Amino acid sequence: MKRIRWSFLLLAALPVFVSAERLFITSQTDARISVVDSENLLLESDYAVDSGPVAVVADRQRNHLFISHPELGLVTVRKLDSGEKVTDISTGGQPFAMVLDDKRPQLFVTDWDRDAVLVINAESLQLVDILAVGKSPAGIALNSEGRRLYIANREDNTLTVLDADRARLIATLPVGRGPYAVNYNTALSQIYVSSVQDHSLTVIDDDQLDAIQQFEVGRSPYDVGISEDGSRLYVVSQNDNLLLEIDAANFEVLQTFKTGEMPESVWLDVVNQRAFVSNWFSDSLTIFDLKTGASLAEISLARGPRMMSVQ
Amino acid sequence: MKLARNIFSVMMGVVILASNVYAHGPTPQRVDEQLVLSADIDDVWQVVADFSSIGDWHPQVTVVEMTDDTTRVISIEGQQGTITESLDESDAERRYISFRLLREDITVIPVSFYSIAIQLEAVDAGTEVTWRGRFYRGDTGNFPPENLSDAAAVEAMTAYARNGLEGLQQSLAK
Repeated sequence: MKRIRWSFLLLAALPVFVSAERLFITSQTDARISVVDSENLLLESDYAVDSGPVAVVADRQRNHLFISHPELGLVTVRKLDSGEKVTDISTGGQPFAMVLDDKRPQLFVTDWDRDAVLVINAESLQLVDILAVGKSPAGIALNSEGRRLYIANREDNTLTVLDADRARLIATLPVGRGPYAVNYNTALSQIYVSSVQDHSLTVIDDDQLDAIQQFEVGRSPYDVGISEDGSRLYVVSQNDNLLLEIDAANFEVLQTFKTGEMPESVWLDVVNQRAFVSNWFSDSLTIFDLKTGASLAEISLARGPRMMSVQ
Repeated sequence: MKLARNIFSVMMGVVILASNVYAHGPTPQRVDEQLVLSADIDDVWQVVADFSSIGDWHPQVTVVEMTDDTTRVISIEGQQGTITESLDESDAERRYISFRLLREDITVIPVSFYSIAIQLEAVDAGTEVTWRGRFYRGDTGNFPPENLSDAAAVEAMTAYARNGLEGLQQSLAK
């Protein structure tokens, strides 16, 4: 019995080192994590987790996978390579989106229910702080060099800017109606906030902490991806079933990609120039070639796919 | 100082655990209903595309008040309050219309938010109408009472879709 297990482990471990990157996707309705080989565009594995997973963050350095479960008031931690449960971090509230700091061992989690950002020590796996933000915080992004955190407050139409190292409020800025996702463009020092109710994208200059522009980007914009050089934005339009490629210099739409139904999140594979989009209604992942505009594959997932993270 | 005060209020929130009907932390639910109507797609589209006329064909909708071209306040049979729906898109070419809940009343429909899309497709027997939606339960806190649970929301939204589809069929058969 033992021998069989070992050989299985060896076989299972091989693709991890061979393939470039593995993509982890939550399926909230079915409570599963799907692992996709981003090089070969294949579903590698799929395993059950605690109920209602929304966000997932891979911590490659410590071999951990963090998963938020808003309805359980829980962040669960699993082994990145095996999927085996490490521990439960009982946060209370409704932990939603998460971002991992690459400079210090901290995981930041928005808490939709308590209007707060939770700080979890990524080494001790303990909840260490609760920071007040605006109402119903959804998306969160980190400016690692500038040591700032950006939080989209869904119910008060603002963006909170926090100091990533100390519990210090830097600014609260008005954005569109129903802000959901936020991302930071290192190359241009710009913050992007998508707002699902007025269908807008707000562009904020990080130095001035002032909005440069706000424009409509399709019905119910959700996730916002940024190309490696910062020249292109990729906005998921949930009600249009589209991924929009936008020029970051003039905000013109360069290209549109037809996704599955009610797309949620986008991840960009910079090496292969591909975009991965999770489709909430279609229960699938669509992969596009950014250079040719072609749809390369659609992978079926467990029901209710939401957010993604790469190893 | 403001932050310190906010942190205090957050701590109070931990104790009070007030439910927030606007929050979307819980699992979004779905409705996906189809019905083939023995009617021409152009005729079905004419009925569906008129955002102000839902009261004429949806058996649950008793009163419709348009506050502007894309906003309707509707009353539901047997319920006291009103809900407000907002038109997102009406695409005659694709025969597709989508709208969302702009102002909820969980005593009318136990759902805190929804978006609904109606898609028509010509088939041999007439027109296939697909009614799809994404929504959140009435009480989005982590301990919802039974009448504001996921199950209650699914039941209400499925009925809203089924009744709508059957109402369309009856209205077009006239």
